[in-house]
Amino acid sequence: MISLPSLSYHRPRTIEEAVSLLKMYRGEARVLAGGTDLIVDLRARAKTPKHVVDIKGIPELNRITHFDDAVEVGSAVTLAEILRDERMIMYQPLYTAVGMIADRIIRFRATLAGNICNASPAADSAPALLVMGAEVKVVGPAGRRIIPISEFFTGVKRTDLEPDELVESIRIPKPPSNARSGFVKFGRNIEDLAIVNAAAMLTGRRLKVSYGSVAPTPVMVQVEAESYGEAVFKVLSEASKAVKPISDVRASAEYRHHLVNVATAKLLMKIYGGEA
Amino acid sequence: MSFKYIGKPMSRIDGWEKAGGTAIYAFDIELPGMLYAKLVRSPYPHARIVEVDGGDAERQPGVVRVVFGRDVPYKLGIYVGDRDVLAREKALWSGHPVAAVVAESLEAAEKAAELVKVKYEPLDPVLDPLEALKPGAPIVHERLGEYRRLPVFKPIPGTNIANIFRLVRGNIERGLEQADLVVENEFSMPMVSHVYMEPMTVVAHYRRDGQVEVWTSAQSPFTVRYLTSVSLGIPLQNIRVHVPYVGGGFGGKAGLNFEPLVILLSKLSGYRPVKLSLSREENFTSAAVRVGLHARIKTGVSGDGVITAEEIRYVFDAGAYADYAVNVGRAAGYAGVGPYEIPNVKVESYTVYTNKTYATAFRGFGHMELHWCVERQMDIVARKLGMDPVEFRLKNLHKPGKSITATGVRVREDAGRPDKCLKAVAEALGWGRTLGRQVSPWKYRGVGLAMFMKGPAQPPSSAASAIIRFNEDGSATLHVGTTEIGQGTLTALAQLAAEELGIPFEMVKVSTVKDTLFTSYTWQTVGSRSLFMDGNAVIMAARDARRQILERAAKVFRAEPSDLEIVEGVVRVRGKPWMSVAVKDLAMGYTYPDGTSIGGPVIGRGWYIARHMTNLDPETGQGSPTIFETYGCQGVEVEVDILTGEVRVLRVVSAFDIGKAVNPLLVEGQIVGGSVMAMSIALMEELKYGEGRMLNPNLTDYKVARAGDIPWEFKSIIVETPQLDGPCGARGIGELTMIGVPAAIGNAIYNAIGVEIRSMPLSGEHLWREIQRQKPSLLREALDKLGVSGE
Repeated sequence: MISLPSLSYHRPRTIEEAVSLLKMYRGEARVLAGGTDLIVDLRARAKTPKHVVDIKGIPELNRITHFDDAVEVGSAVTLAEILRDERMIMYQPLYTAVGMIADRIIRFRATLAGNICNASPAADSAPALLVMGAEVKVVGPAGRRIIPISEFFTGVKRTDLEPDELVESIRIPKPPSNARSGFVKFGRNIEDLAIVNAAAMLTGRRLKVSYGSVAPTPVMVQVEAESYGEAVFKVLSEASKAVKPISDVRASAEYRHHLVNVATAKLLMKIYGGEA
Repeated sequence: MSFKYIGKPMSRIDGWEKAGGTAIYAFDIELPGMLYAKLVRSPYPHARIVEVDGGDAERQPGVVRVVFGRDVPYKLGIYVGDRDVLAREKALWSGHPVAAVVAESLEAAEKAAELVKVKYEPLDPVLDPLEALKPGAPIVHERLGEYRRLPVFKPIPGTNIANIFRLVRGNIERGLEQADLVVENEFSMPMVSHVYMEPMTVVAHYRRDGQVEVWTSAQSPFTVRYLTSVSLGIPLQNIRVHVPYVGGGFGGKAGLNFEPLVILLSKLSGYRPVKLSLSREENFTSAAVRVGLHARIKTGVSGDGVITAEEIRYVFDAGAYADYAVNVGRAAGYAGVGPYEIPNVKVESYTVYTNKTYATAFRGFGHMELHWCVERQMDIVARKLGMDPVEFRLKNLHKPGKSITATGVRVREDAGRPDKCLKAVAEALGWGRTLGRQVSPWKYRGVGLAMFMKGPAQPPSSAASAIIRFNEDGSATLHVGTTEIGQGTLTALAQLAAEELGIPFEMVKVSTVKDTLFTSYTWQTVGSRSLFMDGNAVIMAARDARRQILERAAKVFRAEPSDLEIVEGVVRVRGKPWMSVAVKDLAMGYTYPDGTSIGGPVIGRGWYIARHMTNLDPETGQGSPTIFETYGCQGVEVEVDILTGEVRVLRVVSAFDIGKAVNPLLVEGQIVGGSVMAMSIALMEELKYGEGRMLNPNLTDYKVARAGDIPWEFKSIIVETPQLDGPCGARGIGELTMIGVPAAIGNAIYNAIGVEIRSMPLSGEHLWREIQRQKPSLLREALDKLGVSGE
């Protein structure tokens, strides 16, 4: 039995209220959405805020808003809600990745915004958001701004967010109808943190592949390729420069290097239609 | 003989309570004035404790007492008294509790725990049991020679050896000389955690009048009471142990755990009740785990497949205390060659101290570990002989009524049929038809199986008892000592009672919550012994109660008891069902129409004690170590992804000769549960250490199988060769369901890709490395086909 540390709990009803709380307690407050990472960190005293600002009571943040060319997923929307929304299925490979985050029970609680704000190098949604060119819509005391997902992650468990900024939503462009994509994840069992995860998307000749759990932040490579063979060769020569995995209790760096190759082959096989 | 309840799939009596969330566990116990305890754990794997200071912690608001090892100077240990209540002279592993803070709230205790000062002088630790055996290795227990111990266990002072069990039969040298082929291999398994759902919790109240009351998540309330009395010098009758429902034990809650500590904390904190409930992380590092094993097996075999000799050295890693581990080492020693008749045997089973969390019993009690080695070896030997592994096993299996076991006793005629189990599994697996095949450019499938046997590891004097008390409405309350730790035994015992008493199943109320003040005695809830031992006691108690009812009814009808029968709660004269009286009108005494009464409340009593067991010869291990052996066979089909090394178990086929399935639904539940647990251990479980510290003391990095990892297909075959002294012919099953799966997986992997796995867990990375070492071409070809070169 371990108790939670004592702290002040705030449940604002509006975005403005939330931002002013974050401003008031700048640096001493953490945003609470699903809590599946934050509560664990609080319990382990890995994070020691004096205040938590629970955003689940803010109606605007609990919405999935569909546009013709994109979708915006509010920062309090749970992964289960994303998976239940039929129109989200066309947002591949994100939809597949979301279905593989943690387990079914945790997905009823955890949020997409939380998955990226926690900024674990192993975040399963990150490679998918990267190849899809997602944007993070942020609000703070100075107003609103948009952070491209490629600039969002700045280090292990670190993001471009200011301490008093709040993610409002994640905007994901609708993949072109001819786009082909995939997501793969390797773990020690069905609901593990990824040893390596990867997402890929091919639009015309343009191929993007992104890898997680192989560097302090998710990495992405982009190449132009006509065929499976060309794609594998080009992607792996780029990837070998970009990935810098470490050895930890989950896997060795050597195995992770190997899994980058395997992930690439498995993804590109799917995308290029089973050549080889 | 036709039964009304025996052999029927009755629903669990505890199902609604547990599914509905109303079942009470030790954690739910709250007492007026209760205090909370928090442990302070050693960060070092091996360190001298130079100085302790709880002053700052004790001055914190809400803190009642800081307790160190010197305040609780007792030695614990079921077999060897090597265990401090809290570390005194030395901390023996990283996670060893060195102090406990008791406070008015958990928060206050946690805060103060950070202020407890302990000055350590770090010592060289020894983590590997093979290193621990070498001369010059750091010594875990310098005072090994001074400890109280049971005579059957012999720690060797000046070493890290907690015990050596020796099994000698025939002449090993001659047996090996007679062999046409000698095959030698080494196998190993790491330490693992039980990962029971409910972490350890104890609430204890030491009263000023010397009465002690404990609520604990323990498997064996009477053993907690007995060992507490012996260890702390408290008269046994002054100790009352409550065990509410237990959220899984798997051996990890056998014996005595944190109860003495919390009892003493209560005494030292002004005789107020104290609760200690471990977090999952604390449970990983500071509560007992399962032994690790290194084994070396040398098998001699004749050209036609008869095993002439087997020489084995087992080295069990006990961690810091002998606890149950020495008895695991002993049990694995006497059962060491598995279910085979081998004329020349030498087994040396070492149990060795290291600076790691100490090990206790674990479902299977060494038998999953030993059969992992023996059954992998059987496949390798068969292959070298060029013989089918099924045929090779059949040739050497125990034959009931004929074979002499490695401990020199003749196998009972009614012992069960290992051959039937083996053939049934081979048949169901499609043996000979579905052998290893490629199903995609990088996926291969294979099948494998393993035989095994196990009986309860209990002393020859192990006993059980049962009391049946009738109530005013004709219902009966059944008191047995065995605890409900998830296995379902209490449901099966209620079936036995209802069957014998002739009353409806619903009219038997079993006391699911244990209280040593009221519950009838049983030795322990371990070893798959409860149905057999407590079951026999229940049958005797039911017959005793039934006799009383019939004798009373005989007076009413002016008949002989033998003329009467009990059907659905009604006593009838055979052949004249209109002459009847309800059990409820007899159960508390019978009242004639004129008001005169006879008899009184019916109470049935029954007992059972292990029979035909003997002590084992201290030099040769010869003797009769068990009351029964359950034989079984398990087989799996696996799919191996050679790119990732990942193994997926597609199906599990199991066959056990359990004599009689008293409740086939519960048997099936045990088989599925045990198989998944064993698969999880085989594929992913390992307590990892780095610089002497446990690296994965949490469920983030200590992985267990989840729902999505469970194989799609289970086939459970129940063979029923009744054991004449078993309750309705039954033998135990609970632990058996784990034993064969790991070796079957190892054998199936070889069948699929020709790679030999000798250590667990069979993680993706582990298998990937072995493929590179043993079959690099297999991986290279697959990668080449994918255009992925440069590795």
